[in-house]
Amino acid sequence: MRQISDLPLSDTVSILERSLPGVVGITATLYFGGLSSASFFATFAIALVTAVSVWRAYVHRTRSRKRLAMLEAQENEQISSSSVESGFQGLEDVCTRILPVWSQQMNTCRDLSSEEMNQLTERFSGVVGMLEHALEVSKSQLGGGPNGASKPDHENDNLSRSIQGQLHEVSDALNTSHERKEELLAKVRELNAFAEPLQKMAEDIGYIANQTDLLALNAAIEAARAGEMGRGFAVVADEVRNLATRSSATGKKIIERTREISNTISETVRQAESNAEQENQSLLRTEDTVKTVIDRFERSLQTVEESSSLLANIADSIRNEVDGALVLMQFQDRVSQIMGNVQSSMDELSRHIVTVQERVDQTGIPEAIDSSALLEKCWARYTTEHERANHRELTGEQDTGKRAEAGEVAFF
Amino acid sequence: MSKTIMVVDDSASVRNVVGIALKGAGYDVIEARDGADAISKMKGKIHLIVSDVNMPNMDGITFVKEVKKMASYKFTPICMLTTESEQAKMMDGKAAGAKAWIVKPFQPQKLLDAVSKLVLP
Repeated sequence: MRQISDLPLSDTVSILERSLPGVVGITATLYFGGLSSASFFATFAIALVTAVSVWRAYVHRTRSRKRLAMLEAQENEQISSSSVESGFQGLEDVCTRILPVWSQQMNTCRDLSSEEMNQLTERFSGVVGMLEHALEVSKSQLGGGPNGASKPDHENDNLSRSIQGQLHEVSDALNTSHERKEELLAKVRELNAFAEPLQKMAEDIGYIANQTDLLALNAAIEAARAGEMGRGFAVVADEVRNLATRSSATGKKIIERTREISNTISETVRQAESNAEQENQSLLRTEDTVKTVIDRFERSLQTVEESSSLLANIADSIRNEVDGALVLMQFQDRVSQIMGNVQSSMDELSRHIVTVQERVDQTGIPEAIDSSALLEKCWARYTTEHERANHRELTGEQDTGKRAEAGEVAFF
Repeated sequence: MSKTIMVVDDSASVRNVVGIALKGAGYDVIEARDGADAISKMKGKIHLIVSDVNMPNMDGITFVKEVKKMASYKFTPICMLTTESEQAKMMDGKAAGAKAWIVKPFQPQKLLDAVSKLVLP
């Protein structure tokens, strides 16, 4: 049978609350219904006893629950203590067995990344060297200086003007030569002009010779008429006639030679004029050729300049890309330092736990792990701003130190 | 004649990166992995030393102090190149005798500008 003391407190109170009015009501009904005073008091006594019993049960139950709660608390405390102990044992295992494994794995990561990054940067160095060599060769072939730098525009302009000047000098020399030949030809033409007067003079000589011959003939006739007295004069007249005959022959020869000279001069002039015309044509062709050569040279120069400019732009772009890559390649150094510091902190934690456990084993006095001291040691190890920023963010520490920005250069 | 710069850093990749920048600008480069290694390799004319700070065996600040004790190299300018950006550390470097402090990651052109200002004639 269920005892009232076994009932929960709420049930007990509920019974009390329900039964008391009932007992009081029954008692009152009996009393006012004509029950005797003895019966009334007997009923009231029963009710009172019942109420007292209920109250005692309530008190007993309350005490029992307090004891039970106490026992439960003690039991929980024991369980909690046992859990802490087993948890600490687990933490020791983590620190002495697992942390070294993690530390070793992290070390391997550092070594691998360091080795691979080293090879990567070495290869990159080789690529940069080959690129620079290729650029130097290209610039040199495009007319650049010995150090690979392309010639400035004003140097190319000077070169162009120099070549133009030299070609124009050749053209001018040819022109001058042509002009001198024209002058010579004019002189030759003038010589031809002398031929006609000379021929006229030779004809005059012939005419004079004929007249002289005629005069000498008349003189000879007159000398014959004079007889003995004119014998000497006849000799003179004969000599004069001989001279006249010779003069006439000389005149004819002069006319002949003058005609030959005139023909030669005319032929020479004709030939010279033909040559001059050919030379003039050659000169025009030479000037055209010079102009064409200069135009082609200037176009070539322009092409070279454009190629050189393009090459310079490519070289600048490559340098910018190389500089950017060199900045990015420095990540491994920072990652390695951060991983190294984490590894050191893990080793530190592992050693600390072992030390604390050894002291606890020796003294039997529980000892807490000093996380603040460990965090301070972590802070002391940091070498990068990333580590310090993370530390501040997670621990809530204030940022008090002054520092330089990444890439900043300070001179002392 | 090209000038010689010694690069001291425990990270081979950083030595390579610095080497690419310096060699590209026409400098000869001697590499060392830490302060002790650098001291063992110091011979002949060195026009500038570029050194990391946090290194095993001999850290950068100690290395600077050691170099300043060497008769042949006490006037050789030293530029620190490090991830360390704390003002207090920089002052340590200055007190030891460093002439400049560059915080990694660095721009190659900024490094070359600094080098051209510091390098011995």
